[in-house]
Amino acid sequence: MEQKTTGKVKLSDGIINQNMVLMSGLFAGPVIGAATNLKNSLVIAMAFTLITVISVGLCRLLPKKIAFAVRIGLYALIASLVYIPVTLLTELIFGADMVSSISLYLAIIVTNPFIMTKTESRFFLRPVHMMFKDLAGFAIGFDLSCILVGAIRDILSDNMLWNTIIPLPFQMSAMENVYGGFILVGVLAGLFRFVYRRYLGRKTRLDTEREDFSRKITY
Amino acid sequence: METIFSRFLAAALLGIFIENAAFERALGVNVLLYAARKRENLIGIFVGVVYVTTISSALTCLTDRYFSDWEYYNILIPFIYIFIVSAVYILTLMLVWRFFPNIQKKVKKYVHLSVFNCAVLGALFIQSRIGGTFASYIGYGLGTGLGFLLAGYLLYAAGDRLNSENVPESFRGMPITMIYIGVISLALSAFWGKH
Repeated sequence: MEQKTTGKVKLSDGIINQNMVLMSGLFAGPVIGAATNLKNSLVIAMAFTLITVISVGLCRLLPKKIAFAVRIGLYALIASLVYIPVTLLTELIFGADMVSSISLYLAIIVTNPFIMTKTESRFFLRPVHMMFKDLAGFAIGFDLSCILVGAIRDILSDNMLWNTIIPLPFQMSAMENVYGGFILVGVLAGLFRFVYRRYLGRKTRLDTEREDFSRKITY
Repeated sequence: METIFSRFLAAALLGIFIENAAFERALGVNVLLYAARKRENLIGIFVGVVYVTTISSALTCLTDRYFSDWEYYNILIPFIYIFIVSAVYILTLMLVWRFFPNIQKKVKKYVHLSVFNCAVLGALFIQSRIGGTFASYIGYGLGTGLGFLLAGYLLYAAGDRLNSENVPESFRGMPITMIYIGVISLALSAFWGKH
């Protein structure tokens, strides 16, 4: 019999408490590798949201009778099919050159942990409407983190935000590289956790620690 | 023969050091963070990654060679590669289940993590762009897996210090690990003279 969770779903879970970039680091690769400026980060955020939400919705339709090993492969195949129209759409909106410059990171979205592991361990344990609400929280959390990182790297490396010049007395070209991305995400994650622990209530903190503990066991 | 071996070796070294999936491309960071927690996970997951990247690279070489002229090949690459990886995964699981059932029980919990992750797909994708001979495809696939193992071992070895009380509480765990990977990545880039 299918096991269902009964607890309420809060949007803040995905946006803050379990933010997949700044809290758990569950899917930080594209943010570190591709979100080197605001435009790239918008492409990544849009593609991630569309591919993940549509794929998880379609994967839910697969019968549970299929063996787990086969089901996981099918999840990835479904996501790689969803990738095709999403890539065409992003090319239409942002231009083919920009999309092709980060195509590696767009392609790896199809194997993101939300499709490959969280589907079974979290999303499919909830009723459909709660699943989409939960999913929306995580997608918003990822998008905000990605855009934040992209904007900061844009400002620090080029002294620009989109096409607006931000006059700073220095430039950090290292922010365009992968190592700059790693260090920036690490520093932001530490600051985010500091603010979170200091200003959020004790109850929320305890809830999150319990979630973190269960995540350590189940991944 | 010598040329084949030298191409294989050059591609393997490229995958291990210069184009290291974790340090140079930030691929599979989540799997690294998970695998570096326990020695058993580390070995099991990386054996899986090395195996899948090597076998899949050999197969993607064939698809690249025969279908790359096709107009829609580029946009279908993720689907084709995922199909290959899935086939390798399922066939291998069936063989392991048939001949080594004890191993299958042990790795069941995390085997899908080592197969369906960004490092495997990313490695196949990068090799497709670089191109080359059959030997260089296999060499790069093997090198990527070994490079990922190297990254995982470096994280595992530093795990106690990164989680120690000397690190401020907010930075303990994932944040300091990211900074640590960033510093190694910076050192490697400087060492190889990348700009």
